[in-house]
Amino acid sequence: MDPTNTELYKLVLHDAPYVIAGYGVLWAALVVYVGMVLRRIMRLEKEVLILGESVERRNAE
Amino acid sequence: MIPLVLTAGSIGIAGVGTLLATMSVNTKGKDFVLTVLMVPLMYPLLLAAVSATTAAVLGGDGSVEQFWAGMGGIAGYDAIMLLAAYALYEFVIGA
Amino acid sequence: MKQLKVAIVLLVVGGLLTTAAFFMAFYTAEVQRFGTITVTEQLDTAYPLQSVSADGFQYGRPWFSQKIFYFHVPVAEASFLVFGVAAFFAIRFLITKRREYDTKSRMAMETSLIFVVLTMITGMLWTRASWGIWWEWEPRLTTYFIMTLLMIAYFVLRNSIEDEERRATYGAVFAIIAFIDAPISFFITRLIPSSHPIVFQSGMASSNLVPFIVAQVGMLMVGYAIYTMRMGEEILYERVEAVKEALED
Repeated sequence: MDPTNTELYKLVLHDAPYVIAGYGVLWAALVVYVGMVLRRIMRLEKEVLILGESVERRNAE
Repeated sequence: MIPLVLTAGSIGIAGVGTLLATMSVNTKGKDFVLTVLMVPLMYPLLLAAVSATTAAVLGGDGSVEQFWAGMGGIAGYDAIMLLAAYALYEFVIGA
Repeated sequence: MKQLKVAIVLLVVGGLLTTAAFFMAFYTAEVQRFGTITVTEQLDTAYPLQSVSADGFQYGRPWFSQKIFYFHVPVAEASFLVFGVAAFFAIRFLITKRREYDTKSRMAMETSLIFVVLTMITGMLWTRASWGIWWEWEPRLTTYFIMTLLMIAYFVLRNSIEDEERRATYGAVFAIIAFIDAPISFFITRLIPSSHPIVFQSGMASSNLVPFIVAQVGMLMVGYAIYTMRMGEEILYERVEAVKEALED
C-alpha cells in the first residue's frame, strides 16, 4: 500500500475498531434481549391457549 | 488520629452491617449472601478510611488535608447510611 | 395485549431515534480534536498541520473515539434514571405493601441492570481506544462498578429468600440502600479529580448536542419499552400460574 495512505488510515482508524465494536455490541445486546423476552411472551400466550382449552374441557365434563 | 478513623469507620460498618445481617439471617445461604451484600456497600467507606489512615500514618505534605477529606467522606457515609438504616430497620423487622 | 403493542411501538420509535442519532454522530457532529500525532511524511488531510519538527509533521489528532459519546452517555444516564425509578417503586412498596409495586421495582431494576452492563461494555471499549487500557481504578469507574455489584446483589438476595412477602420487603429495602451509590457515582467526577471526562461543564456545539439529545430520548424510549414488555410478561406469567393452580385443585 502507498505509505502515505497507510499513515492516513492509521491517523483515522486508530480508534475505529473500538467505536464500531461499542455500537455493535450495544445494538446486538438490545436486540438479543428483546428477542428473548418476546419469545418468552409468545410461549406464555401459547400456554394460555392450552390452559383455556383444558378449562373448557373440564367445564364440559 | 487513627482511633478517630477507627471509631468513625466502625460506626458506619455497624450501622449498615446490622441491617444487612438482619436481612441475611432469613436467607438460604446466610454467610454467602451477607458477603455479597456487604462488600460492595462497604467499599466507599473502606476507600475513605484507607485514605485517611494512610495520611495519618505516613504524614508528609498535604497529609492533613487528605486526612480530613477522608474523614469527611467517612462522616458523610456514616450519616447517610445510619439515617437509611434507621428508617428501614422497622420494615426489615416487621417482615 | 395493549401493553405489548405500546412496548413494540416505543421500541420501534426508540430504535429509529437512536439510529438517527448514530448517523448524525458520524455525519453532522463536529469532530473533537485532542493531542497530536507525528508522522514522517507530510499528508494531504483535512486535519490541521500544527508544527514541523525534526521528528516529523505534527497533526491535530481527530478524536474518533469521542464518537462513542452519543451512545455511551445516553445509556449511562438512562441507567441512573431507571435505577431511580426502581428505588421510587421500592419506597412506594414499603409504604403501601402492594405487590404490584414490588414487581415494578424488580422490572425497573432489571432494565437498569441491562443498561449498566451496556454502559460498562461501551465504556471499556472507549477506555481502550482513548487511554490505551481496558480498565482503571479511578473514582467514576470504581463507583459505577460498585453500583453494578449492588444490582447483582439485589437479585442474589431476592433469589435466596423463599417467603414471598419477606422477599419483596427485603428487596425493596436493599434497592433503597443500593440507590445511595447512584448519585455518588454520578457526581463524583465533579468532586474528586478524575480522568473520566466531564462533557457538560464546558458546554458543547449544537451539532454535538442534537444527536446526543436524540439518542438520549431514544434510549429512554427503549428503556420504557423493555420495562413495559417485561411487566406484560410478568403479568401473563402470574395469570398462567394462577390458572394452573386452580386447575390442579
